[in-house]
Amino acid sequence: MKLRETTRISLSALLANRSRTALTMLGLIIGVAAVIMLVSIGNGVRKFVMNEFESLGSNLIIIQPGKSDRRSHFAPPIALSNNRMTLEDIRAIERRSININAVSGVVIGNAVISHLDAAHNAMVFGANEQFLKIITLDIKYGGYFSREEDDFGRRVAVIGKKVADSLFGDDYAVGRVIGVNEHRYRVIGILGATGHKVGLDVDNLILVPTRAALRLFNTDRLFGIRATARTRSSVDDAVAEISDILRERNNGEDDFTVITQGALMASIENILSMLTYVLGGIAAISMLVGGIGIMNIMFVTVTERIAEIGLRRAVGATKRDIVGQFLLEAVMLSVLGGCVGVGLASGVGWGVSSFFKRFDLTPPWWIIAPAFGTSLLIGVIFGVLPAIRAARIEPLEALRHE
Amino acid sequence: MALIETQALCKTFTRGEETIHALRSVSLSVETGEFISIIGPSGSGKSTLMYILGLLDKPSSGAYLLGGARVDNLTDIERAKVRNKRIGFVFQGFHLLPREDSLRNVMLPLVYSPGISSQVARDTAEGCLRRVGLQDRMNHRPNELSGGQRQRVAIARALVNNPSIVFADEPTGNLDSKTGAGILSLFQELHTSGVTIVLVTHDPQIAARAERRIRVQDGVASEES
Repeated sequence: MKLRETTRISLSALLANRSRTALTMLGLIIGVAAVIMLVSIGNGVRKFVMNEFESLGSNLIIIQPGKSDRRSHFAPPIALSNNRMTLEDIRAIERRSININAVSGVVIGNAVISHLDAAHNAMVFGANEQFLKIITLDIKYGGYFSREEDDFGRRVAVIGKKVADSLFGDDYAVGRVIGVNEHRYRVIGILGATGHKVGLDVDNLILVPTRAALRLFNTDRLFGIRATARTRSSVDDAVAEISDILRERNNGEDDFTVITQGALMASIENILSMLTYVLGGIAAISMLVGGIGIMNIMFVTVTERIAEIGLRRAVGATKRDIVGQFLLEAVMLSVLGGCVGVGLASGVGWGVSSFFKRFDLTPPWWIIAPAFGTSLLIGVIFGVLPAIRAARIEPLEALRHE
Repeated sequence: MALIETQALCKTFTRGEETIHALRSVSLSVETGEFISIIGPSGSGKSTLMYILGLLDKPSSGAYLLGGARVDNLTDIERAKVRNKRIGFVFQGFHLLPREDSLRNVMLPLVYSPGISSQVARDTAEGCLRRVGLQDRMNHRPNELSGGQRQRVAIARALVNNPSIVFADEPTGNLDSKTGAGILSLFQELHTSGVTIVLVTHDPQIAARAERRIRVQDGVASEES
């Protein structure tokens, strides 16, 4: 009966001063809502970035020339490496690896693309006919080049949407001839609007057979190798195979770096999670401020209710009973504030998410328990001092207080 | 055996450098069922005596036996328990909880009595309110009651734990004389029904209502006949 009565009395005390109660809770409401919203934003960004990577194609393996120091997931600049990666390497991997679904060398460079009087700066991306199995690209019109076209380095090109628009406008570009630097290429396919994919502007890309790109840039060195494993579980075996083959072909030297999509995603996920925690931690400071607000109001409440405290002591309440009563009141304030904060953050999250479909800002469900727990803890921490002061008031003094 | 027995109770305060002797060696006894008054001018030490007897204050020296057992050396928690079970208080300023109705106010001491269900507490409180004639004011808040009615609620609260003794500190001090007379008759009735009452007042006319009077002057208590 004591707990129920105390709860009822605390609640009626809070309700008696509605606007004060609301203002006191506001600090914690803002704090809790800020923590949850920042965690949700962090979470949303992480999901967004992960989706971007996932959309590249799964089980991706990236091989770059040059040895990376320590266990970094990012390869060193290609210019520092003496290693030559050539089409021979691609052929060897193709022939000997059994865990690989597709492998392609890549060549990257800039070129001026022209048609009649129109000219356009674009990124030339050399890859073989298997490249679509490695990275997901949407070909809207026409098709992609064949094995034969790659083997002979035919001058055919699949162009990005921006390239097509700037050279041909609304005209159908497939089958037309374009200039790539001094060479003439036939357009065989056009990519759908894609936008940026991990820093690469796909819309401003022109895809050509590997050999054609090598000839265009007058080199036999590949920028790197891209491959996919057959299944997610065979990624590690595929990496081992590729490493063995390349090491053997390179006089036993480990002068290359293998990055898997999984490892890349794990390290990015790591960074983004860390960012989320840091943001949440900063917002948690505002929860502390909310707690101080509660402490302040609890001191006021204790002073206002000295006579009540005296009476309760006179009719048999112990110091512990008084501590319990005021602590409960502080905890009610903080937990109530916490709940409203969770509600507010959820509402804003859902609202924003329904406007920007690509950004999921709805708070993760697991945030509710810690938000609730932290609110409770704040109520206890900042309620305990006022409650102790209430209990220390001598009943006799309190009864004489009018 | 006397219900209350004190032996050489002393109480001293220090205010600044000055030492004030509020009580100088008070020895008295109260039997079960008695109606006594403690009378004296303000500052005489009568309130201090009452609060020590009511276990809200501690004597500086001397012994205090309640129902034959020493209670002057109890811990805070034990004193709270004794106050809860065996003592009822009525104050000059009523001391009701403003947001609670009469019933809840009367139930308050039972909140701190472990093992009492809310149904029993409610029934007991209703009984006490009936006893002071407020059966039709159970769900009124203090601000909806007259001064006399408020003091009756406070008296019902003092009775709710069926205490051994009720202390009343100037219970008519905030009331007009007619209402005050009603309250005094109520005390008389309670006394008739067996309740032990100690009434503290500065007013000789009120003190005369009790069957025994103890005068406190400069911290010294003496029986008055």
